[in-house]
Amino acid sequence: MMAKISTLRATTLTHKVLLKQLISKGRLIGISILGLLPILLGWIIGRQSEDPLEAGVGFVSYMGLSILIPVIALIFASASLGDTREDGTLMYLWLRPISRWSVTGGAWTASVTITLPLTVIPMVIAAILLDAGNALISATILTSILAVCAYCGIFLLLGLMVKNPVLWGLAYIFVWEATIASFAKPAASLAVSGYSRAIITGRTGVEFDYLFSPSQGTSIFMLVIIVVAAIGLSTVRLNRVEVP
Amino acid sequence: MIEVSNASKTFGNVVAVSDVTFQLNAGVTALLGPNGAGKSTLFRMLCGLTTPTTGTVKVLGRDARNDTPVRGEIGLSPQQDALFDRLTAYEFVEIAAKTHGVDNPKEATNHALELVDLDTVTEKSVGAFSKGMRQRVKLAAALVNDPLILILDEPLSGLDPVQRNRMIELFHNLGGQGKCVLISSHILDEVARIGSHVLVIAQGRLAASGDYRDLRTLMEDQPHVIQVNTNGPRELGAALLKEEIIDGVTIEDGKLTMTTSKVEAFGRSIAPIAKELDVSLTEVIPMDDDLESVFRYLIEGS
Repeated sequence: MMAKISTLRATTLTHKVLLKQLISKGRLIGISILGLLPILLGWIIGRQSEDPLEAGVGFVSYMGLSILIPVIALIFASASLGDTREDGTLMYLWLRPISRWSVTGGAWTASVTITLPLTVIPMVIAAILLDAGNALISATILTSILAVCAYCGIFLLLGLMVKNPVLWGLAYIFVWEATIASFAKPAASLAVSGYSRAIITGRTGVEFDYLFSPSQGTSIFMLVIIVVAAIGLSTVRLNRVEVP
Repeated sequence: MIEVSNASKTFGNVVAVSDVTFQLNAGVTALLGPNGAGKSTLFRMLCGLTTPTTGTVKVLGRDARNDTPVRGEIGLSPQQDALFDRLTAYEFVEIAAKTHGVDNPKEATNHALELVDLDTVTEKSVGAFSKGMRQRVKLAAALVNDPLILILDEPLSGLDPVQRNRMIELFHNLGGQGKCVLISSHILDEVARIGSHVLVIAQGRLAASGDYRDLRTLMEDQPHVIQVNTNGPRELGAALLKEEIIDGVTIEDGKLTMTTSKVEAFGRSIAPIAKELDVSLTEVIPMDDDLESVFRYLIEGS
């Protein structure tokens, strides 16, 4: 006898399988070492800066939100379904009588589950070492979580769209998010970093000469929209993909 | 249970499956074809993993690509070796049971692993499995939901002879239970044991379908090409021609190559004739009983 599987149940099952597939010793060691870099830089900047809050917000914005978080999210989120598509194991999820939403939802939650501790913990330690007060620490936690969610959504989609998603993703991170979006207002309004920077500056009260400065509420709303849109588009893509 | 109607699949300029039509009901059917013939593409279309470029493919009257419930009635064991390597055998099959909504996934998982003789290695990671064990864990995952339609792509490759016999027996049992079991293979002898009903696919086209014995008859209509290595090729060739056992003969580099429509008479006569002529036979090699030759005959004959 077979029962209809709820989307939540199917999402949980997909999450479990993909999380196990994503966690490898090599990946974890490499990324943990990468996570030491912001901690070290945070400690150095905290000791040398005259205005640790302003330096800290700048550091978290550029090092954390524009580089560390997107790069680590790229590695896991693009692999969550992208790798299964490449190696042929996607078939084992695709052919089940479960909704496509549950597959993309499970992949997204799996990549968020692993990316969050690997990014938020080093960024929070860096924020503590910057010695700029609780405002920076709480703002770092909030913006890091939101940025992880948004980037995981975008790179989940990328993994289903292109071959070599890591190369495409790195180009997106360093060209679009870290460079163009830092200088051009229209580009920043189409970048995760534009909204996440707006949240951290808003919460800490630090004013940068940013070209793009939406309110915190708008920024949080937009990041949520990015997550929903990315998972939605991934679901549409999954429905149309030719499964190897 | 399976209905394929004028189905074709192209990838750019490459035609993988061309205008294939057939219907299958309960029982075991073997899909025979050489590597690259289009078997796996046809299977992928049946499961909805890829869409036909033209034509229709229905499983239980529905399109598996767009119909979620019908996917619960399909068990697929794919040809590709990829598995979720970090899961144990038990976890791999249990996930299949749970995502199929099987009522008692633990019991179903244990039963499926038992059917394929993997019940002693359930806690071993599938990444550490041998090819034969990987093949069997794929089978267990395909069987765990007790599907009406079983699509098994080269399920016997990598299995040892004992396991092959066990699996072939299992397939027959499943066919006898009213399930539609479609099994692909490129090994002729294997196909003969899998089932009498065969579909032959070559170069993307359905070259023949029907009872296996009819296929053998069709093969026997074709003259056989046999090479004989002997120290008296001229005498032996002339004697066999005189007895009208062979239809034609060529001698090249001392090797005697003959065509015959009377392969059984040839087999009975060659040794006595050689003895009578006092020539020795060092080797008798059938030149065209490989699968490729069979397909060539079938295509040219159809």
